[in-house]
Amino acid sequence: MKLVLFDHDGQPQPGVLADDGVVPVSEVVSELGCAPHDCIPTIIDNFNELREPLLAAEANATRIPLDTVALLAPLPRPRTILCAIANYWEHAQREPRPLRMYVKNPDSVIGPEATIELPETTDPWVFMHEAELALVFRGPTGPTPSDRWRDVVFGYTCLIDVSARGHGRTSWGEFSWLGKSFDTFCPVGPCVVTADEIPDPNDLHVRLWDDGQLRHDYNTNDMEHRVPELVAWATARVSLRSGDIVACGTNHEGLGPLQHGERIVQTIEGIGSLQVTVRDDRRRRWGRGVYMGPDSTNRAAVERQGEVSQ
Amino acid sequence: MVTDAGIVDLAPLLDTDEPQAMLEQLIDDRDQLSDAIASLCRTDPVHPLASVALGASVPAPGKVLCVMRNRPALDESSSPPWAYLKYTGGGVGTEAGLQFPPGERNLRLEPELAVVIRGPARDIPADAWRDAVFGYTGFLDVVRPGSSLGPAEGDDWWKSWDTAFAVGPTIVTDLDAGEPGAGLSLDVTDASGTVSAADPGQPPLGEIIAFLSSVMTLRSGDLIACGAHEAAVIAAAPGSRAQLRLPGCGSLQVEATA
Repeated sequence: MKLVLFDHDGQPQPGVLADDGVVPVSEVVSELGCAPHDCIPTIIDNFNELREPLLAAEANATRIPLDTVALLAPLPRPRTILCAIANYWEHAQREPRPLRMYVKNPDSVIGPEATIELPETTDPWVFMHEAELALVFRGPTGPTPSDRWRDVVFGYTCLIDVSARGHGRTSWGEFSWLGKSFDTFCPVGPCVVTADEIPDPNDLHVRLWDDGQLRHDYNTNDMEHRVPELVAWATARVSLRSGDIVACGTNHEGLGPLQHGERIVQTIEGIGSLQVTVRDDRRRRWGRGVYMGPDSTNRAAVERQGEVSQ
Repeated sequence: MVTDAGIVDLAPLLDTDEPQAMLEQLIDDRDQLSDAIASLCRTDPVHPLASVALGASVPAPGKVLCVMRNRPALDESSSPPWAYLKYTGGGVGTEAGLQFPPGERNLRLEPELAVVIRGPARDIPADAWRDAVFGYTGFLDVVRPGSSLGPAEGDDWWKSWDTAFAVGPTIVTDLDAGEPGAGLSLDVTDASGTVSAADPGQPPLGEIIAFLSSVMTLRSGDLIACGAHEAAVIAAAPGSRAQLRLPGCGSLQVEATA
């Protein structure tokens, strides 16, 4: 089941995304009395009771055509967003790195068809996309061993971890990670797909296009610390509530700068397509394409660096 | 509201019974509520302080932003970003247990002034920082030794455990605060005695609020922990009892637990 928030006739409401439109489910969840921003976390909290009525609505209710609604961020205001740092092998032959995460600004969430607004600051001076698989939690969680990870993962969504950088691939502000928390730097959506629809989150293809140019193109089976370990690590440290998010990190081989006017499309198989645009009031231009600088992990860049150093 | 006689219950004036939403309504509607609050304080029963339990002064902040460079290092080099976002669910109030993570025996307690935001606040000039402030509260952070400028052993999680900060005991509004942060001090008591330290200065609030509001929109009820001064930081272990004093705000007392 794909849960969405959508705007139809100026009224944000919950729905189920079907192949031929959106099924409104406000009536199914009306007794819960949730505010729109809190709708999907409330559905998660009550999903055992709501599952059958939601499936019945999906099967029988009238669809609203997709082209007449605006999909919103399904989780517009999570209490907590944790993001894994790096977390992909990227063809490297090395020992695994320690798992690390940072806290991302929950106010930075935007939804489908919204706009990433690049800050006017010149330090940091470049802003890059990082396409990620995101886990959506059912809480409250306590410490959850890796073999019980499915107990607390309600579903999945797409997340773009927009990141400000200084020089090369280095995130702005060592140990701060604040460069990933500017307003609008967390596109999320288009839906929350329930966990039963994804047999293995470590076998999903993630792609991101920038104005039609393929940038990220990787499988989640390349994760350095896989989903069960991410769940165990995070829940051992903090309590997560329903609707909280853990983003699984990105494969940096496809990093690239975001620039004014570009259209960004992220897809993850089984989840859907998240599309946003970019606005930069300063109209800055960076070299278009995948980042291929000295610290790029892109395979072609690594091979080129190897040839140069020989 | 805390008065000289005790506590006055403001709940009858508010539209919600959810603690953080109550605080945010008090912040957002402060001007409209001021007469009603004054009236309530004149007419309603006052509960003696000894008869109530104070919770965390900001029970569920939307964001907790922490200045990561302690003074005087922050004063000497202010190249941003010198702040990070802390896990918001980790706060406890006065007289609570401040739980240390498993296996951690030797941590530092950092007494800090925290700003309670009145928002939305975005791109606030340094000289207008008071526009974004509702009030001030005490903030006790938990840090690994040697981590005032960065994480120990490459661990970025050094400041964000569950229940890893204490906040309170009250919020003193900006109208009442005088010199924010002046007189901040910390006592830590364990079996070997009491260690006391005081913060010799005040954090650069204009610079802090101007920078953070240039990165993100600050909302009502968000917290900014303004960083400690190295002179006021004290080591602690499970069993240590800490008392943070912030003049005008009161005394925040917690016990470190394993």
